[in-house]
Amino acid sequence: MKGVAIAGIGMTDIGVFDHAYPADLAVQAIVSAIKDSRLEKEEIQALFGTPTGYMVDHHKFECQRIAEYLRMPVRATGEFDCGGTSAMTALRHVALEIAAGRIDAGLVYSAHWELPPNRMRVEHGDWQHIVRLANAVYGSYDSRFGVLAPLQYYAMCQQRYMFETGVTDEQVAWLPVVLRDNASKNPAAFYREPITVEEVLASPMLSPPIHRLEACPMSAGGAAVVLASEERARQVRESVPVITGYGEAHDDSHFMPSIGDMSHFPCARRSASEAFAEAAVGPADIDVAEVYGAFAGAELMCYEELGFFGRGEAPAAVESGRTRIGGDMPINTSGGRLSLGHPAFATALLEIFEVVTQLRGEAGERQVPGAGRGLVHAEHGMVNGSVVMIMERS
Amino acid sequence: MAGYLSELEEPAAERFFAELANERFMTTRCPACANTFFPPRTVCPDCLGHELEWVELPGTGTVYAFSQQHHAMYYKKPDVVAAVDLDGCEGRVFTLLDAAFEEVEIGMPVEVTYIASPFGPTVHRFRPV
Repeated sequence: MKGVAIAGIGMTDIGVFDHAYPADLAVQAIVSAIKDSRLEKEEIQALFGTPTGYMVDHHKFECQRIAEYLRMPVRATGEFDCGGTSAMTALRHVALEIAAGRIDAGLVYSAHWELPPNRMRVEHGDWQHIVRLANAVYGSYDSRFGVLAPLQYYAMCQQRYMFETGVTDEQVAWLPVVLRDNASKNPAAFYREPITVEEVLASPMLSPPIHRLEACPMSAGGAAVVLASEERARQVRESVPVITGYGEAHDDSHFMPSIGDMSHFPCARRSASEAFAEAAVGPADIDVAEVYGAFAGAELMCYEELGFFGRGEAPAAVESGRTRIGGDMPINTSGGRLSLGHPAFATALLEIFEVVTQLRGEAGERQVPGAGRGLVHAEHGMVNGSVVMIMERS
Repeated sequence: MAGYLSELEEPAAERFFAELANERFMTTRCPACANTFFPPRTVCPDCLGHELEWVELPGTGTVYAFSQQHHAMYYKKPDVVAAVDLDGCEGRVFTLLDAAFEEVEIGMPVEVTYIASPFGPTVHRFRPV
């Protein structure tokens, strides 16, 4: 994947919208990324995207419709469907096309929205249909017990992590506080009001041990990334981030593992090892990272699996400020999933948006001084699959 | 199962829930691998053989992890949910626990019970032994 640059980035507002136009978020993100890239639309020779949502079942062929809508006669289009890692898998395909010399530039986008629960029954008609949709996401065995979101799985996963490491509720509650502090410096973040550990612990218990302020908000939003050969990207911009490492791994589990333990994420560790090896760097060499964490407990576990901290040590590192802007290992300067917002399919691209903004030195109040090397991490399921990508300013 | 489209994803799940109605907690075993695994499948996940047999499990296990859910489609809230490591096979099941949340502990031995659902097939719910 050598010689591939992130040439352009775009994102939409993130939030809860009263009315959703299925294709509009994607179009907004794509146009924004192409303009940011300073390339001509005609140079984009690949257009790849992700599904629109987990429980949205009437939204097909978006890539192809957008190629028509924006008059983009590309070499290929397509959709990668693998939950939260979809956009990274799509990006990898486009990057390999560029690295192989088949195209000079390509685009990856994602726009995510879901029907709010109170609209689901109206729009989907009946429970039988909703059960079939839930089966398709969570499998036949769990959905009839009420699983319509991965909350309960993450709750049990976090319970095991705390049980095995001795990490406490108070320690986990520090993470949302730090993320919110980062978000307070990000105009694009969904939630920006500072919060305290006491407020996190006093927020409603969604599914023990997960409090509401330790869970990502349900949010819609879109993002897009233009990839180009480093050579082409450098013709229009002096300094561009290039991909120096990429790793991916998937475990033989889907949400709740039926064998093996739930308190480790082997795929996250494997994908990080591969990416670090390719980039010939280690976790301590990363200046800024965006880590995918839909829930505070799992996010802390990911910090450890990615190699930033030892087992059971991430909570103390977060509490002591090491992951804050200004700390020695700034993570989720965007505000992370909990405060930036988490349109899951688009999240990986939002992470790239933040890291590229940092590497360009354009992050304003939340700029990590001298950030030259960044990492993004995406996962899907209950961290059943994971992708890690490392970028460096050239 | 009225209608053309099954509410379940594949035939082994259909058989599993059908057997629950007979108060039997069943799964599949691959004689070639001498391996009994849960959830049941139409094919052995190790050797990919199709010569599987259905076997009844003891219906006991231990609580690996548990939580509580306040919003579910079918049942009275709040429910205690759990991941139970099953005896007699390689596998874990997501289930409901018939116990107060405060009384449940990791490692607690539990056994299966069956509850008829007005909305679909009989489902399992475990209780402390």
